[in-house]
Amino acid sequence: MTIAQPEGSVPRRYPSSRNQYAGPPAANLGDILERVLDKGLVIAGDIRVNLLDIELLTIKLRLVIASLDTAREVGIDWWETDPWLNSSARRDELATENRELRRRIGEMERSESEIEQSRAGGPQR
Amino acid sequence: MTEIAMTAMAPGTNAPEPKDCVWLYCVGPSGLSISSEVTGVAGETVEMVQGEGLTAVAGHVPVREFGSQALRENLEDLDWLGRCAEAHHYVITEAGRSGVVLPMRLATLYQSEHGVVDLLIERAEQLRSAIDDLTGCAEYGLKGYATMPRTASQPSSSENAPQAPTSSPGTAYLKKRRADLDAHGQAREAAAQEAERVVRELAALALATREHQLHDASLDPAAADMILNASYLVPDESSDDFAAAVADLAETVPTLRLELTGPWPPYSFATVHDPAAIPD
Repeated sequence: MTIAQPEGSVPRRYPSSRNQYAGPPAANLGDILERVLDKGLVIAGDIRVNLLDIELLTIKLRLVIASLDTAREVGIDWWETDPWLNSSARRDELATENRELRRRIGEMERSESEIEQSRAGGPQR
Repeated sequence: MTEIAMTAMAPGTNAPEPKDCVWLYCVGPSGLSISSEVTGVAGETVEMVQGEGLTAVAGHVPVREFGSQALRENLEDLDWLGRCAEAHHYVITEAGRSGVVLPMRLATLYQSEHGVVDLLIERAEQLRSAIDDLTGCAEYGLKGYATMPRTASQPSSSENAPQAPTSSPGTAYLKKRRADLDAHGQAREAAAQEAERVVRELAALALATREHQLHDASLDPAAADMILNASYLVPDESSDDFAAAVADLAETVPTLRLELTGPWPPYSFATVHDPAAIPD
């Protein structure tokens, strides 16, 4: 049996020769992730990763799983800021929420004062 | 004594003793082998753990990267996750060259090889029966997309529709929009019915079928028209027939665009039969 092997630290490529499982010619990362994260035999090992977290991750990944590579190419990078996927984003979440709430309150106050003004300046009924 | 100082160091050495845990890739029959050059998720040499007439394909990986705390963080790093998933799949694929394999879900980890041996002993019956079920078969993935008429009702609706001549531009827009949506919905509905037929026809050629969740369109525009996502377990001798049937359907069902991937190791079909569970 010969298996094509890249030399040194060159990144691996899928084998191109066909044998029992040749690996799909165009096995993209999304297809692989869909399988290794979501399928496969589930047996509880000794080291438990919090399964709930993994499931959340899986659900989120499902959203873009078809084309993580393409997603990057077209500039979809929500995971950089997604609190589920990025722990530093999680820290920022409250701050962002606060900012957003303050912005909305500001808007509401402004439109209220506008109404007030238009009432005051408008024709009397 | 300098014991304390010594336990605190030793990074980067190859000593695989207490700093390592064991990553499990897959389980197969006793004859399973893999090239000694294949390396795993941590770049480690992959090992074969034997027991009960079964082979587990595993590797020693550093706790600092794969221990539960580090792993949780790493799994959230999509670059890390992507590399890890590819390496996991690569080892499974390479092992699958020498026989049927039951791929493990990503991140199945043990503190030592003993845990893997225990697994082989404790679940031997179930693992063997799963291996028997999958011997001589491979998984194929099929995705189907509805091919939508691009601007569904554009040519006809504005002229043929018996609309009141007095409609305002806004009403006309809304009417047209509704007609477009209806046409889109109908096209999708028709394609979905065809997809069901495709699934049924192909299922007849396969030993087993799994229908998977459709991808969400909100972040992956390519998935907007996905209406079929399934895996088929196909005997090796029927793989050509199966591919031909897919090609045939792709040609005769114009409302569907089909995408076939495979052969894959049987990710979607590797299940351990729990005697308590009801068979389907």
